Amino acid sequence: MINETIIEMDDVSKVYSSGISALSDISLEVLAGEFIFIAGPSGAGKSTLLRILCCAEKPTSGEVVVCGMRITEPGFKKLYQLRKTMGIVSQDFKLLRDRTANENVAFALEATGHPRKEAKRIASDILSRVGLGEREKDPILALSAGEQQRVAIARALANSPPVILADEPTGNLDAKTTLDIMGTFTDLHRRGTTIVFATQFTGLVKRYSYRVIRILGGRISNGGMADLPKVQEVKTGE
Amino acid sequence: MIFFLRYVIRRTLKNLTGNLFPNFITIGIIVISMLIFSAFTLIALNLTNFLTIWEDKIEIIAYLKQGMPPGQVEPLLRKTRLLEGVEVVRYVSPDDAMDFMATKLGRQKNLLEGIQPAFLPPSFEIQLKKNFRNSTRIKEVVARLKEIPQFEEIQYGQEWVETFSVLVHAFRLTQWILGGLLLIGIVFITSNTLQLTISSRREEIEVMHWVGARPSFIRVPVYLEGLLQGFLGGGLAILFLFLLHQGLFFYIPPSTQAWIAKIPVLFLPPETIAWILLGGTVLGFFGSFVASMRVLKYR
Repeated sequence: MINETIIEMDDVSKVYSSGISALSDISLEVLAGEFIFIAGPSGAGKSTLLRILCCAEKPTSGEVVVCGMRITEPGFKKLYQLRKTMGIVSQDFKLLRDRTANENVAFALEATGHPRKEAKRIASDILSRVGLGEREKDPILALSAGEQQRVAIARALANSPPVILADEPTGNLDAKTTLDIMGTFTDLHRRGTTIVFATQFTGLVKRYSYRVIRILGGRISNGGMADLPKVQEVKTGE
Repeated sequence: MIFFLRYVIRRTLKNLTGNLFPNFITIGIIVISMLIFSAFTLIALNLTNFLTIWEDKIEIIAYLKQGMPPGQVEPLLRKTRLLEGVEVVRYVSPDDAMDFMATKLGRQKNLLEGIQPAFLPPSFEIQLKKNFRNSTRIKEVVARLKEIPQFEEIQYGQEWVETFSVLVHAFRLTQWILGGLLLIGIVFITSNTLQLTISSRREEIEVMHWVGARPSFIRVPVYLEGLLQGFLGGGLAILFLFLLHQGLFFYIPPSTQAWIAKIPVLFLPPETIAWILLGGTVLGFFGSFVASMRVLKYR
C-alpha cells in the first residue's frame, strides 16, 4: 500500500452556477498511508476540495481518482462504494443526538451491512481505540465536544476505510481537546490510514511535520501564509 | 438476505412508530380517499345488481288488437314464440286479466263490479331469454313485435329500464373519474407526507450517505413504509365501509327494511376487496417512490 497513489487530482477546477470560482487548476497526489494538511484561510476552497474527493460535489473540469475509482468519469454511480473507502469527519460532528456513542457507531456499521449484534461489538472495540470505551453507553449530549468528535472519528473508522477526510475537525474545540483529537489522528496515521486534514489553524499545522498543501483563493499557493511550511514540503514522521 | 430483510423490517417499523403524527395523517387521508372510492364502487355494485334483478324479471306485454278472432290467437302465439330472444309466451285473455286485477286489488276488488272483462284487451306476456334481458337487446325483440300488425301496443317499462341504465352508467363513470382523481391525490399526499417523515430523519440519512450505505438500505424501508401505509389505508377504508354498510340497517325504519329485504344490499365481493387493498398498497408504494426520488438522492 505504501507509496501507491491513493488520491489523484489533475487540473481540477470548480465554478459554482453563481459564477464564483471555488477551485482553480488543483493538481495533487496523496500517497497511501500519508498524512497531509490542506491549509488555508476560511473560504479558501478547502471544504470544496474535500467535498470533491468524497463526490459530494462534481468538479467543473479535471480528473479525480480515489482508491482506484475515477470518480469524475461521466455516469459514475458507485458512490456508496467510494464512501466505504473513506471515513468523513466534519467540524460539526454530524452525530445522531438521540442515541448513545455506541449506537452512533453501530448505526454506521448496520447501514453498511453488519448484523446488529456484530455492529455493536465492533462499535465497542472502535470506541475503546479512540479512548471512549468507558463512555460508549452514554448519550451523545452527555459527552463533551472533544468526546463527541472522537465518536465521529470512531464512526468514520467503522468500516476500516483506508482514507480519512477530516474537514476542520478541531474547528469547534479548545486547544487541549484539539491536541487530544490530533493525537487520535496521528495514532490512526501510524496504523497506516491515509489522512487528509483540512484546517485553517496555522499553529496546528506548524506543530506537525506532515506535508502541507496551502490553498488560497481556490489555488495551491506558495505564499500568502508566510508562517506555514512550503507547499509540497514532505517530511516523514511526526 | 435474511439480515437485510430483518434490517428493513426493523427500520420500517421504527420509521412508522417514530413519526406517528405524519404517518397518522397520511393513513387517514388514504382511508378517506379509499373510502370515497369504495363507497362509489359499492353503490355502483348495488345499482348494477338491482338492474340485473330487475332485468331478470323484465317481460314484454304485447296487447292484441280488439276484436281479434279467437282462431288467430294460436297461430300468433306460435309466430311470437319463434322470434329470436323469446323464451316463453303466455296468452292472457280478458278474463285472466280481470282475475289478475281482482287479485291485485284484494279487498277493494268490488271496484271492478260492473266492468265487463271484454273492456280489458287480451295480451301476450312474453318472457325473454337471459341474454336478451337488457335495455339494448330488448329493443330488438320489441322492434320485431312491432312489425306484427295484430299487436295494438307493446309495453316493457322502457323508460324505467333506460333511466336506470343511464343512472348506473353515470355512477360507474363518476366512480372511475373520481378514482382517477383520488389516485393522483393519494400519490401526491403520500409522497409529500413521506417527504416530511424523511426530512425528520435527514440527519440519519445524511450519515448513511457518508458511511456508504447501499441505496437499497436507505430506500427499501421508505418503500415498505409507503406500501404499509397504503395497505393499512385500504384495509381501514374497507373496514369503515363494512361498518357503514352494516350500520345502515339499524337506522332504516322497519317498513323500509321489509321493502329492502326484497332487494339484497350487497357488500363488496372478496375480489373487489382484494383489488382495493392492492390498489391502496400500490398507491402507497408509488407515493414513497416519488418521495424517495425527490429527497433520497445519494449525495
